[in-house]
Amino acid sequence: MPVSKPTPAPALRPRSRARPELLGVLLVVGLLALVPWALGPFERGLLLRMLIWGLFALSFDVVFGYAGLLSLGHSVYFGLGAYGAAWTLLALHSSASPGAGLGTGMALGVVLPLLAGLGLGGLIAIGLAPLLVRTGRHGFIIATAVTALIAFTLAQSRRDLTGGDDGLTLPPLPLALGGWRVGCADPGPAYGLVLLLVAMTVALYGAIVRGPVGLALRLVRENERRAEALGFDVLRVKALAFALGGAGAALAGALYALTSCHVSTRVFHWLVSADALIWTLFGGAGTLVGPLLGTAVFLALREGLSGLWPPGYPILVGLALLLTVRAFPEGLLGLVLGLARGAARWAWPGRTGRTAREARNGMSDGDGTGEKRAAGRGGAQGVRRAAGRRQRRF
Amino acid sequence: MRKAFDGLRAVDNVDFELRAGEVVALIGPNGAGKTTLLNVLSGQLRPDAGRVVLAGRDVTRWPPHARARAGLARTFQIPQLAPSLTVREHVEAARLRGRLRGRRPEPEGLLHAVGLGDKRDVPAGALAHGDRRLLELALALALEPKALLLDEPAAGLSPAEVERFLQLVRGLRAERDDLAILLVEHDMDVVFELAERVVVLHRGRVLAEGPPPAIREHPDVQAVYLGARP
Repeated sequence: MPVSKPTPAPALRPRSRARPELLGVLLVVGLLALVPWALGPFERGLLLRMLIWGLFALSFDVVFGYAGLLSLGHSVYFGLGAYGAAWTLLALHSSASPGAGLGTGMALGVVLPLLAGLGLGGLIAIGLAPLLVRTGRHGFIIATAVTALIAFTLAQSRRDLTGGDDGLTLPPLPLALGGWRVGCADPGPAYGLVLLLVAMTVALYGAIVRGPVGLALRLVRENERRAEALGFDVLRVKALAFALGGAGAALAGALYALTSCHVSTRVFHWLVSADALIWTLFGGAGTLVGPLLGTAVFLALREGLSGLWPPGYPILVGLALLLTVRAFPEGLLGLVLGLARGAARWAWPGRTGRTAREARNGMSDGDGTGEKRAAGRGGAQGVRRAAGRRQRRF
Repeated sequence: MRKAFDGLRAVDNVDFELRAGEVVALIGPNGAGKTTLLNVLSGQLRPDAGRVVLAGRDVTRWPPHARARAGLARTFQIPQLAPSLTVREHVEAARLRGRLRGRRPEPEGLLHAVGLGDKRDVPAGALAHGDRRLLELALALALEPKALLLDEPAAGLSPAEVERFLQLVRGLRAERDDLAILLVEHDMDVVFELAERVVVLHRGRVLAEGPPPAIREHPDVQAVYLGARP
């Protein structure tokens, strides 16, 4: 973060703050791309799950954090993505002759299931979006929860297609790097594919929420009357957010099915949507980085704590979560940025305002801007103000 | 035009015209139906009977956002802003939609004109009341409207801020001679300063209509404002 830079001219500001941000992103993606090859299969698998569920949480946050709509039916699109990919993978697997070359098999066997999952989940999200957003802010929560219940019940009743609770066992993805093939115990080369697709989707979401669409989403979230008076069709803006989020969830679901060798009807359950809500709140709602960070830390915590005290780890995880959200309403990202601000204030006492602003502009969006106001008052008082505001919003 | 709530006729057989380049003030005691009338005009409420016509087109069934895009801008009695969005972001949002999409005045110039030039990076939630009103006005102007509906723009402003507001509207009149302005206002100084025509509303009906001096002398209007029953 450019803590020691002089004030940039207004016209130059976007560029000067984009550079350190870009460096940070490249650093994280670079580490995620290089480090796993030195790790064991288990750690590689954990990172893989962080990426996939992180994408799911981010797609949830586009609807929840940016557009202000709490969707408990987000699992539906994840589940459709997962089953769309799984059915296609199975169909290709049973029709492929054992002697077929890996080359064409790789291209078709990976791309077709991914597209099928994305298409199935994405199209249904687009189709349902205009109906669901019409239900009003509170009705929306109920209506989306009902879609999750219907999807789960339907999936349970068609065991022949979905495998029910037992689920479907899937062949490993026909993907190889040199002689290294994807296995069920070790994602291997599939990790690279997932990282690539998740990074691309996050970049796409970033471009969307920082552009005019993001502005419209935040405006609708905070004041629908104002949005209307400025010429925005509120229902269309909401439907757009819902469709964008649903498509991301479908991609995450497809990646999940293709890398875990197994998929069951559990993916449709509304509790899966609730997971995304928890991870998003934990990391920081209404931001790009928050849901990714929240999911990663949550999964790491669960892994670490379940080894520590197997029977009681859910209690420990819940406690850690509760404390974080209680003390830092802006989530982990708020905590990290708060620490960065504190350090900057300590190191450059006279320059706090600008430093804080640039730190925030670089990292967060949406609620980050709201946090600006709170931070201006400094310390705990500011955080508490932000807390009050958040409570009002829900 | 007519609008009733649970049998109470908030706006009853009101018929009036706002012509291009005209400033009309809508006055009347509390509960006269002024804001209801404004909400029917801007599309927040549907009339029970009657029509709303904007620039020759019947917009009675149009939702508010479509009317805004067609050139009807309004401000709200209680400022309606998005707390975490900055002043600049508000104006940019206003430029995304509407009649002259993309060919609107630059936010910088507009914010300077209303006196918010040095507050463009402040979130709307942190603005003082007077500045919120100014931002509301800037947003309405950013739509480059044909007709502008102002709902008590001077309420809660300091005398200096009222003076600034008056200057703004006068400047606007000089600059855009085809802009129609409908002003709902309690502050009679503001009304008599700006309006070319005054419509007095009482219990949902038009009590009197005419140029400001005539309205000031009108016996029925005086009676209503002194609290007597006409």
